[in-house]
Amino acid sequence: MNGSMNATVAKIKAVYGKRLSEKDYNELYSKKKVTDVAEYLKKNTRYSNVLANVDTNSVHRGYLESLLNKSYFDEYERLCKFQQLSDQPFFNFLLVRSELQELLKAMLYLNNERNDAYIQSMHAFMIEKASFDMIALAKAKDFRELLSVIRHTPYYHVLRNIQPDKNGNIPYTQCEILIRTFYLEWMLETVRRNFDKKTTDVLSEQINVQADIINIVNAYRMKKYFMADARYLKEYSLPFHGRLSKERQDEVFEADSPADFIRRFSKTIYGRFMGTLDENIEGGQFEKELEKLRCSITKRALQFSDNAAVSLYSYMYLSEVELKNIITIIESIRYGRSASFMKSQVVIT
Amino acid sequence: MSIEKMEYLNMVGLMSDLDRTLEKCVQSGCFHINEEKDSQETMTHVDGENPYKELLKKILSMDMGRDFSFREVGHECPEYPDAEDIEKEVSELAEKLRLSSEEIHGLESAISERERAATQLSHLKGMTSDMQKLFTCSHIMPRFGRLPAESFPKLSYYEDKPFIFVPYDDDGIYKWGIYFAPLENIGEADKIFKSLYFERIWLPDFLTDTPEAESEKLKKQIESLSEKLEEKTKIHKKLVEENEEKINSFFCRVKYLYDVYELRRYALRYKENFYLSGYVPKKQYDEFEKLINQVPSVSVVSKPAENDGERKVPVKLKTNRFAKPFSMFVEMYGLPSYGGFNPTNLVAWTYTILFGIMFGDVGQGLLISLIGLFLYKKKGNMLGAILQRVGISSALFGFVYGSVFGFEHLLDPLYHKIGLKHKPLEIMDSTMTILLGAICIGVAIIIISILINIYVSFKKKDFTQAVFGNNGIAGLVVFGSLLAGVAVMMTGGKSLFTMPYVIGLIVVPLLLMFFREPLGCLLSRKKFHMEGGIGDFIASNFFEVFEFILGYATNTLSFVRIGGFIFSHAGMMSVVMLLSESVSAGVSPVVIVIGNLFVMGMEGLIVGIQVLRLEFYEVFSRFYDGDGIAFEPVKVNYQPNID
Repeated sequence: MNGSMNATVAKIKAVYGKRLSEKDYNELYSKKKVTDVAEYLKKNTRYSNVLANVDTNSVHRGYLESLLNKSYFDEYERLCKFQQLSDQPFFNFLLVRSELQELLKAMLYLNNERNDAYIQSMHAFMIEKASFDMIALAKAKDFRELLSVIRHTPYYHVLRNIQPDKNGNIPYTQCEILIRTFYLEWMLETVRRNFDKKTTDVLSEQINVQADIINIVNAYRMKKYFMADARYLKEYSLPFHGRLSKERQDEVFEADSPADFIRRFSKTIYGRFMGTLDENIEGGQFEKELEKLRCSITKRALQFSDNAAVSLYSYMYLSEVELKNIITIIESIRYGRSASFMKSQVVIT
Repeated sequence: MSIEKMEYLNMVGLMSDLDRTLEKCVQSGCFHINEEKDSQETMTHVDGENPYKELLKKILSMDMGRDFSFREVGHECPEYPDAEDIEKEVSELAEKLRLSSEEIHGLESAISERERAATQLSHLKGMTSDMQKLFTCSHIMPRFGRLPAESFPKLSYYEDKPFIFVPYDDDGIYKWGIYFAPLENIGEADKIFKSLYFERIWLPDFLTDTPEAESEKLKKQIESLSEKLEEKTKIHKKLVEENEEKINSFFCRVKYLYDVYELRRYALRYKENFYLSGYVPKKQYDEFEKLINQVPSVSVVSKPAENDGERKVPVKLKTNRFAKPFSMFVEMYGLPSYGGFNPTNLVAWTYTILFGIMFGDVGQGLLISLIGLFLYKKKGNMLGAILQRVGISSALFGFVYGSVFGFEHLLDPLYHKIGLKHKPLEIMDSTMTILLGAICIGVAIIIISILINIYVSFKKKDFTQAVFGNNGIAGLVVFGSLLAGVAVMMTGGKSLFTMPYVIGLIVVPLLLMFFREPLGCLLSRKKFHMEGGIGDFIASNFFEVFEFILGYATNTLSFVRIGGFIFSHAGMMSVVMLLSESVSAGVSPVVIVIGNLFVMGMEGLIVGIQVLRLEFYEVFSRFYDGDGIAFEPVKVNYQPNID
């Protein structure tokens, strides 16, 4: 990556400067209706362009969320096109991830025999962008048909050996691990091949931290809700390690209860960053704390980076968290949750 | 020094008199309240919901229209002294306003509904079918509306379903159209389209004409409703205007009661008594005591603030009229601690003089001063007051450089009149004089800063800094000796750097600086703890002393920028003059005006920042901590919000 990408770095930092502030979030918490949220976003934030032609008095919640999701992807494309970054394989990271997410979502709905529900939840903007036929994916009646849709893509080789059970159910957890492993491996390999050592180190660290956090979140969920043992947790964890070595991770997995899990996790490098954690912390809250941690690591990477790849990768994560925050607020308003609940669920970027 | 002396107060009284006492504190305008902690089980915080909250909310939520804003009219409300009376009046007024607002909103939504219908009809203009026929279909149901453009591709998923979608307009965001489905399948089609965020348009059932004709009808209705709206808005506005004084008076009274009640959280309760503490400037103490004595149960005990070692005493800077605006810069860095040194006067004089030297021009200086005066008088902007002062300084130095808006010889007749052959300082011919002069100014400022540090450190009994520090006596000796030696060498005199001079005035003070911590402890009769062993001590002190020596050189040279900006200003103005000569006589004045404005804007800003940088880095860093807390007397905040 040469210095000529500095314009993209500067642009990303400028765009990041327009993120929602704490004041914006406080305003959003105080809204009583989803349409008020839309109105506030339209009048006061960087989402004004996306919502410019939308009648905020009557906009449907689902459509609002769909527009925000589309704007997230559009912004990624805009930043990539700014200096023709999409010509380089790494910069397709969000497209690849979105394709894989759609694939997983399709499998989940297939297992529940709800194809019509999948077409409704499918991100419509992906129909034109995906490397496979999304409508055909939505129409697939079983795993064999699904495989034939992705036959010409690299994802086919990841899933071809998967065997649905006698009822036709796809082993979703196994597929999820395979797909996530494929994605992270592809990222690490692409980074290693295309960037200098410094950039590779920074990006690899971010990717591996991401893997650590996914492993911890999944393991905690399985421990808390299914009392899964260490062998199961190790089997269903991603084979990547960032700041949490395999040995340290295994020690955490050996925990005999969710409280013990938190106790052991508190002693790891991430746990020490996060300060004192309540042993009986709510599952959702623990995930929020981990998200905050990843956000602070990413923010640091973005602030100190002078590299387009690092900046874009970091920015897109922070932007995704912001998007999740808005959707959380919208859903909370919909279900009449309090401002303090929303505040506890939001991770300020 | 130049910091207001404070008295520390303890107040005890009956709980029943707490609100009255707090009111007196607010009225005094000079009481800084302390936040007390529950120190014992018997002393607890006074809590409870603010009884004025709901009333204040009610006043703030009254619909007074966009043009109305609350203003301060004083907290007295003689006609309605009690909150209950105000509440009654507010409720009546709020009801009147609500009814009026509802009428307005009703009209607004009727207009908006018709406008939406008109917009929808405008999209139907592309449709050529006979609408009457569509509405009268008995087996096929039509649905008008708009489908988000991004949902459109999803329709291909439903190609086997018994419905069709016919778009007749596309605005890039939505596809406007109709879908048709047989009567028995319309439910399913509705469900699918709803999931695709299809927004159905409910066309008026009286729509029998062509879309064009219907649009015309709607236009007329909108016009008639708008007239009604205007009339109702006028009535509402009149109602607000008639009651404006009353509303403001209620607001101020209730906000006053609310804010005073909020101060209760600073008080502690002991059985039926309350306890409050805070600070009052010594010179206002008698006045304050007189006010508090009006509450019979309250007794006040005071002592000089410095005798209360438990907490930080708030600081109120004492400045003269000239220096007052510069306190903004001091506060930007942080306030001095109570008993510390207030550098505002020093900043005011050095900032004004340095700015004048670096930006000397009679015309530009006076113009800057006038702009400053305007900003200060019109907007109350403190930066305006600073510009006023530095502008005059700039004009005075402009007389020394003989420059008026870049005209270098305009003042020659004046110089001749007072017996001078030419201007006192020709900038471009006095390079060395200016640069050496800049360094001399720097040396003087550094020495003054070191002397202040010595004074302040002795006052704080910090002997390490006062005697052995790089900004203490030892540092002053090293800096002075090095400067004297270099100055004598440069003027061609006999070198001062003899063995006794070097050992006595440079090496020994440097050694004192090296051992400043143990020596400081020795003088203060404290035990010295060496952290990290002897190796660490030697290494860290060696590099620190090395950095001190480098610092003396770099800090002194830093002032060369003063000279640099004198040249830069003269250079930029000569470019402006050259440009003006290269254009026609008609355009020349325009170039001169634009050039002057550009130089004033750009260079004025840079010089302002550079002088501030010199103040903060070369002056403040030698003696100033900026860790004081501001004196903030309790007051009512007449902003329309609930904290």
